[in-house]
Amino acid sequence: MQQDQFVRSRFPHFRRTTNRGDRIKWRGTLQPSPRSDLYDVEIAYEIPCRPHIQVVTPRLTTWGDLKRQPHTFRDGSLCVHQAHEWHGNKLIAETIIPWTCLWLAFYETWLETGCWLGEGTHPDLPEHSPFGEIVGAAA
Amino acid sequence: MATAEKAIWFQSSREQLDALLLEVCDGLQLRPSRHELAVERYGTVNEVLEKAGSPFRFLRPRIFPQGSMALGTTCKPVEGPHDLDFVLQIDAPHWRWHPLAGLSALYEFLSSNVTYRKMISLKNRVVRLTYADEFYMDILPAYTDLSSGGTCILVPDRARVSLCPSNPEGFILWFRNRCLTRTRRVMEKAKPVPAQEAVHEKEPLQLAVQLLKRWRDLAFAEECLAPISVVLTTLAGMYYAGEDSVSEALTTILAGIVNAIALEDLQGKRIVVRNPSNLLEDFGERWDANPQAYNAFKAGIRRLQKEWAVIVAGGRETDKELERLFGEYVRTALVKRAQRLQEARKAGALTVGSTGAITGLASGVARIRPNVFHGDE
Repeated sequence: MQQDQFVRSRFPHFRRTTNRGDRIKWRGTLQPSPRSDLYDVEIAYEIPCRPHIQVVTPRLTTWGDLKRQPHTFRDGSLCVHQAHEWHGNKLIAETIIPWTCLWLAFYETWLETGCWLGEGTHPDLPEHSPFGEIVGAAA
Repeated sequence: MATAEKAIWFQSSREQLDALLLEVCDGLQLRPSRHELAVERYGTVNEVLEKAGSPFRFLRPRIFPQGSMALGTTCKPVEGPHDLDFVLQIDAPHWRWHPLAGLSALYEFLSSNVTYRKMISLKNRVVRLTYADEFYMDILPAYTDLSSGGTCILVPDRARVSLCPSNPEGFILWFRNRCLTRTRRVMEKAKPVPAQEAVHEKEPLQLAVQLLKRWRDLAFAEECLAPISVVLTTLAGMYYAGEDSVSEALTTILAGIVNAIALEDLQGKRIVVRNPSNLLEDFGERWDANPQAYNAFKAGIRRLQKEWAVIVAGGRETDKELERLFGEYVRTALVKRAQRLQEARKAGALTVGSTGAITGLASGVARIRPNVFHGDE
């Protein structure tokens, strides 16, 4: 499958764990920066649904009293795009995985500061507020 | 040497940590506007001390800054005023006078000045001017020490009722040489406050000292237990081994200090922190009268070494640890980096490498295409 070919050639740390006709699953590690955690990520793709992205380890944590991370689904999987931004003709290796790396990078800053700086939908949510409003800018 | 550009992506954990620390130090040091105000204050006091009516006028007074402004290691206090330290050095036959005569004369003269009368106080060795805009200016009157020569001086100490050896100019020169950096031109007479270096122009040793001072300000709730700045600066200078990286410099410095403490502990002694430019001056002498402070310092620096090793290793929670050690400027630095990341993203300048590392355009395996994060409300 072309998707599998590109995922495994571009990201050698990913391996295919399931391949059943129109359903494929990969598992691999991503590290958005040298000091980041090594995230063990599972991506499941079943035609015609959008890819399902789950961070297996480390367990994603939350900031303050929030119960969930920004830009996730209720099952805890990541939402890295709007529906119209992805379809089956787009390569997961060129879209979903890079967007996941970006999500992880902004997640790390959010975890430390409470502020999501990667923008996104639902801009009225408090984590999108400017840094100064949330925690008080340093002098 | 630190770079002027603020990077978004990094080749190594060390590079990323150094960039973060550089940005923390940028937050720590005196703002340019404050520095300019300090220069103005220095100039005004200088004029007063040299003008007609000053008891120092004919004693060839030399006024020069010492301390963090001279060393390039300013660190904003957690609370309270920032202090500026100056030496007023005179050539005078001190042996003919009471040891505290110079200090008294300086205090009385400045007290007679309408401007300074309300802001003046007398400390153990200095006359302090407290400015309403949150400065202390500490002026240390000193005599040229002819018997020791060079830039050695003798400074008054009220507690001991005597003159004590010192050599701040020699210390500044020693420290600057330890930094392996350019020296500054020295003026013949009154020395101006050195121009403030931008943080990216500072040497790793200077940055390490700023961080150690900040750690000290946050780790020691009781000021009487906190190690004084000159002790931290001297120890850092002694054990710095010329590293190009501020994080590596800190690792080496902390190892040096902890090892030195351990060696002296075996003999039941404290470490001696001599002024490298005047071995008669022991910066650690206050610990003799305050052994509790020495014990607190030992425990603190050992703890810092362990915590620092965890931070250097990177990974989860280490940014929180960094913030615990160095305060809110860590958080500000992380936000600024994320903001730069977002700007680069909007400019279409981001790619990812094969490990998932976010990089610049030329080196990645996939460009990060435009997207909007979504999710359930």
